Amino acid sequence: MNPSKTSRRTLIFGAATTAVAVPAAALITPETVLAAAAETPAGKSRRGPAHDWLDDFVMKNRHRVNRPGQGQP
Amino acid sequence: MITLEHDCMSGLKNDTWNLTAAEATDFIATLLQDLTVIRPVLSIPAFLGDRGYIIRLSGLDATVLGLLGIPLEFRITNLPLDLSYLDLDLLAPIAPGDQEPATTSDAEELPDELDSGGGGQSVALAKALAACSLAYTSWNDFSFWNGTRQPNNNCYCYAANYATNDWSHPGRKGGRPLPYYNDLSYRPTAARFTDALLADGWKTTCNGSSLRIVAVLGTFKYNGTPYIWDYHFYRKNLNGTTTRFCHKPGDGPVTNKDGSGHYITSVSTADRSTPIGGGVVSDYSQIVGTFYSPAGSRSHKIS
Repeated sequence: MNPSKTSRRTLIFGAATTAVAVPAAALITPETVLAAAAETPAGKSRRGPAHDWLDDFVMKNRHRVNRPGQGQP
Repeated sequence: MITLEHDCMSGLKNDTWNLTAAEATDFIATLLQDLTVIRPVLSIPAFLGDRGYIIRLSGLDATVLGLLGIPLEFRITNLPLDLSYLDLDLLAPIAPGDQEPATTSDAEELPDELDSGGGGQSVALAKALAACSLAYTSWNDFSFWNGTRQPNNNCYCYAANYATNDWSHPGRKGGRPLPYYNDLSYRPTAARFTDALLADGWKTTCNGSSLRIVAVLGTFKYNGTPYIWDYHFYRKNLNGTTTRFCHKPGDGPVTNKDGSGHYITSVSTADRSTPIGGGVVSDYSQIVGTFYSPAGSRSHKIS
């Protein structure tokens, strides 16, 4: 855990960061993504609250979907 | 600004949404509860169905979240982590019309998809196929597609062995495009889909060295109610003498396995139905038919 990154997140997002599980600054490297995935038991999928939020959003907002650029005449 | 893309389509392009400021704030607060669900965008499992969401940040949201080390675009998925993309050459030069090198060809047998549903067509087809041979590409080396070409070629490009690098849809080349793009209620019939493929130059019988593809139509259902459709293609290859259908689910990598992780020896028996979150199921249950590229072609131009 990088203390400076943790402090910066807390400063910006306040209480919203209290449940952050891993240092966000490290997520984009393969090593730390692997480390995060290793927290999940082998063969099990992982489903966080953000995924549930997105599922719910998409189901409720199909009427405002963007469908441009399908490349059709 | 936050844009989300639901990465679940194979033939059609994925739908996207722009979040309002209030929605973006709510989403960020939720995301920060558990950042371990974040994946690199290119970490896409070879999977027909829900491959998660691609989140793109811009403006103030990108600036603020960038301070946390969160990339400008990332994937959120509950599928197992797949880092095979790290081995790919993502800088290889590409050009429209590139084709995967052919491996072998052999005499064709009766297509099981048509044999099971075609009734009296079987005898006529058997005669027609007597003069047919098929062209194949590798059944297990997909490095041609699973690299620089992966994100911009869909299942139709792979089926045709023709990398348009600009997605592609049946009927576009032949002037018979399907009018589905801004109409969520539209569903093509198998006959209309066939019409689009024939306009693109595909054949229903084989009389020379050809690619053999199988077209399927799918429906996404929400709690049992259809709300959007999609299409998908499989192309026949061989492992020795054993059939291995291969396919490219949307922007994902090419694979030789179905939704249950089994090699595909027959499209009709392959697992083509997958659950999606929130009571949604994608089910590519309708087999449109088997089609062949024109005689002598190992790549069929579709744009």
